[in-house]
Amino acid sequence: MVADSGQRSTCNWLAVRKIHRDATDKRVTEFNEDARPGYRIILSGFPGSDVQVELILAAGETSQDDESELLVQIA
Amino acid sequence: MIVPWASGYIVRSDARQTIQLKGFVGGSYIMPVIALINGDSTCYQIVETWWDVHFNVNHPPAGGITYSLDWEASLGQLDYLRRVYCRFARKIDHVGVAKGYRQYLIDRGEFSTLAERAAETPVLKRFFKGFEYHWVHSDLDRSEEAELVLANIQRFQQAGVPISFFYPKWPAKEYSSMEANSANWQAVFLDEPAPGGWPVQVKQLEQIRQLGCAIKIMINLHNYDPQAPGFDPVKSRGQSNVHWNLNQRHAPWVIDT
Repeated sequence: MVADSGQRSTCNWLAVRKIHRDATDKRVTEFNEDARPGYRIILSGFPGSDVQVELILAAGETSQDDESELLVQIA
Repeated sequence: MIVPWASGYIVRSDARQTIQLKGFVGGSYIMPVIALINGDSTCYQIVETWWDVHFNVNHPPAGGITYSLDWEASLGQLDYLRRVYCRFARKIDHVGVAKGYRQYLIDRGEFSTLAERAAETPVLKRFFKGFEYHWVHSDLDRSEEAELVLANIQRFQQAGVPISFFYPKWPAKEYSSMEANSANWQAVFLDEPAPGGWPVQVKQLEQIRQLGCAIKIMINLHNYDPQAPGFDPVKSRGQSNVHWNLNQRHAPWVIDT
């Protein structure tokens, strides 16, 4: 997420990319909660582990005027 | 950038000094919301699962601002989901962000007004009626300082200014005139947290109370200092700073046990 050249909000996308690369089973389904359409990404099949990671990315409007929202959820 | 660290900061991306503001929400950070503003464009982030989230804002001199949001690892457990809302808006400043966060709480049924809180805790109403006199530090080099503070309170009151009182923070280690005290809860283990020991502190508080002042005492539950009494390394985890900062779930457990 980049606000401008002087301010930067970071997320450890390198870690996300590694998790995505290591998963041998990847599923993407549609997500829609509270009128927020988006995607549910389920990653599993990690070597030597039965861990399953679920990432939800969904966009929508808020109750404020002229304002939008991105929901990021990880479980 | 709007940073709700301690009493709240606005950090300019071109500020000349180094700024580093990090800590857990509920401890160093007072709200689970943080905002980046550039002209008409604003991005603010509300963390729904805030009780173990750690914000870290870094600003090198005139070098922009980098900010990260990290949830503390649940250490071997799958635990609960983590959720954050990234909101994008135009033409809102820090007041607009505050209103947006307030509306978020209203929409969730979690908002309460000061009046509602005062009804639940009546002393708050008394405290809000006064101007806060903040006795920052008990200066060891001024033996008459306590008397001076009492005289100042009376002077304000005689001028028609109601006073509510902030008592100095106690240290978790030996009292010093050279350091700001932390208000760390481990001060309860000290025989002499401030000059004169506990009896002097009780006497001063009673004198201030007799002047009709509501009193605020700060106790920081989220710092766990390895140099202070009562420290148990087994209970500590997370970052090994001088003051080990604890999250909102971890701190009560450390104190209870």
